[in-house]
Amino acid sequence: MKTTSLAKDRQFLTRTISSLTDQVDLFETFQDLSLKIISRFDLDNILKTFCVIINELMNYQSATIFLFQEDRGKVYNAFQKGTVKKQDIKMLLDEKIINWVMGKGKWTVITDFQDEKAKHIISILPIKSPVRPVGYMVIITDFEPSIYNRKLGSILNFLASQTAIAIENQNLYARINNSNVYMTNMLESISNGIMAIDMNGGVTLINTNATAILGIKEKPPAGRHYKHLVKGNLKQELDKLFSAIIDKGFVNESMVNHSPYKEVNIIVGITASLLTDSNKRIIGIIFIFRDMSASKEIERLTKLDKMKSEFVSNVSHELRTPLSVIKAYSEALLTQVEPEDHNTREQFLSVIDNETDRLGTIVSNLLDLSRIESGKFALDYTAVSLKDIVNSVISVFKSKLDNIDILTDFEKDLPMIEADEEKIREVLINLIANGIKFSPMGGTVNIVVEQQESLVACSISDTGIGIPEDKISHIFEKFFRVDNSDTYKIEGTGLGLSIVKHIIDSHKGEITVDSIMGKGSVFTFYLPLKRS
Amino acid sequence: MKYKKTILIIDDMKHIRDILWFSLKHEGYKPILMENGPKGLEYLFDKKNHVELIILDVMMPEMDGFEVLEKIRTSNDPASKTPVIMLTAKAQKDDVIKGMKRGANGYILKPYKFTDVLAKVENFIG
Repeated sequence: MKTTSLAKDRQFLTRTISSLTDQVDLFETFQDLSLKIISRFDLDNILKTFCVIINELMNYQSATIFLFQEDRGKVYNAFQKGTVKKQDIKMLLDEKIINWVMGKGKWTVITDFQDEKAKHIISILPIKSPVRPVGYMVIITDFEPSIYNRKLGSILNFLASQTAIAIENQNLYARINNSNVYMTNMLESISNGIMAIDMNGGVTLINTNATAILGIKEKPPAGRHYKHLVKGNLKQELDKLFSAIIDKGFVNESMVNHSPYKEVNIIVGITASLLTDSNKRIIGIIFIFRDMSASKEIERLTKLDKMKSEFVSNVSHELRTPLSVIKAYSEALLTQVEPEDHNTREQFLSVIDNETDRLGTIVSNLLDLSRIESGKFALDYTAVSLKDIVNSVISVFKSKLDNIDILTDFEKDLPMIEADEEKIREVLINLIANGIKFSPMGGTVNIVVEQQESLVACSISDTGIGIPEDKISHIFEKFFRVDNSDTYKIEGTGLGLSIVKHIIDSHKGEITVDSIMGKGSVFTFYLPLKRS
Repeated sequence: MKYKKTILIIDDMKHIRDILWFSLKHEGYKPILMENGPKGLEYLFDKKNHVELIILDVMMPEMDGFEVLEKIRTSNDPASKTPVIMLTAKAQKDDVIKGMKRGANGYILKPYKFTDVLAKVENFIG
């Protein structure tokens, strides 16, 4: 009895162990196969591996995989192994059968094993992921019912689910990859520079425009701290924005002068915004860099354009004023003044003469401007006496002035200088006329000429309205006019001082200005005695 | 003696004032010259004076012609109805409109033909 019982037990144990070993083998096979499939990342390889394994198991005549399109549910033939044409399989299988098998979700043999005429066994293996049906495989083997058993069924179902997961993973992977490419394309096509950093300051993303604006030679490896990429005031600005945005949640655009490359200076506009994850936790900061040079240039050109149109309007006004005097006086001379009224005739003629001079000054300023602009401005050097020029210029002014004094102070024994007499005359006419013009309530213009070593200095001071401090640096710019509309409307072309400066510069001289609002201005120019 | 109608000329440019004075006087008017807006307004609103027409320059220091015109038209003085002819070198169209809107009766651009000025003057007070 005991022996029998023992033998029975041993038999039972042996069977159990053998069965367990089989199961372990099976699991190992599963793991092995599943690894083979899942480790593939492209669809073709997944399907090919799937087929190879199925072939090892079943030695099929043909295996055809149909996949449902992810979004539209359409079926398409994705893979074909063996000799049977896919059209024939489509003919062979009704859609209803497919739907029934997909519904069952398990490997199903279609062929009746009892059918004596059958030459093949056809089976359908659904490929389903936990989320959705991915497709199905139609397997055709020789008529050998012996290989069809439950064990094969569970292996096939397992392989199909692994394949489904692998396909789904591959789809996700491809989608991520696509959206990465898409995002990269978008990032690169933006004309601004974009740089994202994590909360430790490590760069997580940067586009080519950002590297160009910041002057970084190549894209940094991910995670590199931004302080290694940018230096100086740009780094300081980023530090400031970093803490400000975390503090307040927003920042205003700030401007930084930056030199990304040697001898290239740009103005960079920087803004920042917070990066959050799906739980609205702050995970980083995105900086946007804008090269402001282009917009600054447009701003400059727009301003210049406006100045030019104001200039045209000013010039036409400046020309009209003396013209109207000349016109009115000559008209009166022709039609109203009695021929024998010599005093009036002479008086009117001298007015016409003076206004013609004024026109002449404007025209020569305009001519100078066009010569300067076309690069044809040249000096005609001779030995000249600054004192003589000053005296001759003020004699012309004095004859027309009724409410202003012009005083002069010349140092004794002033030397002659090498200069262009006509041009220096223009300088003096412009500066003295300004002194008078900007003293609308009358006053004094004081001219002092003295030698200072190898230079001669000439200062013209007035007791006029003065120049606002913020405008002084612009007064030598072409077309620039101090907007004095609030106090006095003083006319002008905005050319005089720019031409004066050009003439003095051409002589290798220098011109300076000092001014106190309401007190007056002093213009001083220095000319070298000898031409260099 | 024939009564001479008074024309007030407000212009900051002496030459223009002088020649208008000469020419208008020659035509039998009594021109009064003022070199800026405030002085012109003071003369106009002085009860002792009677002005029949004003010739007013636009571009002047201190107070421009538009402002002078506005002060004339918005005052309660009987002189606020005095015809005003604007005389200026400003060629922009919007200036003409600006002047007309504020109640100018005529507009003459410099350089002007005196016969045009005279025609406008006679139109109002001839």
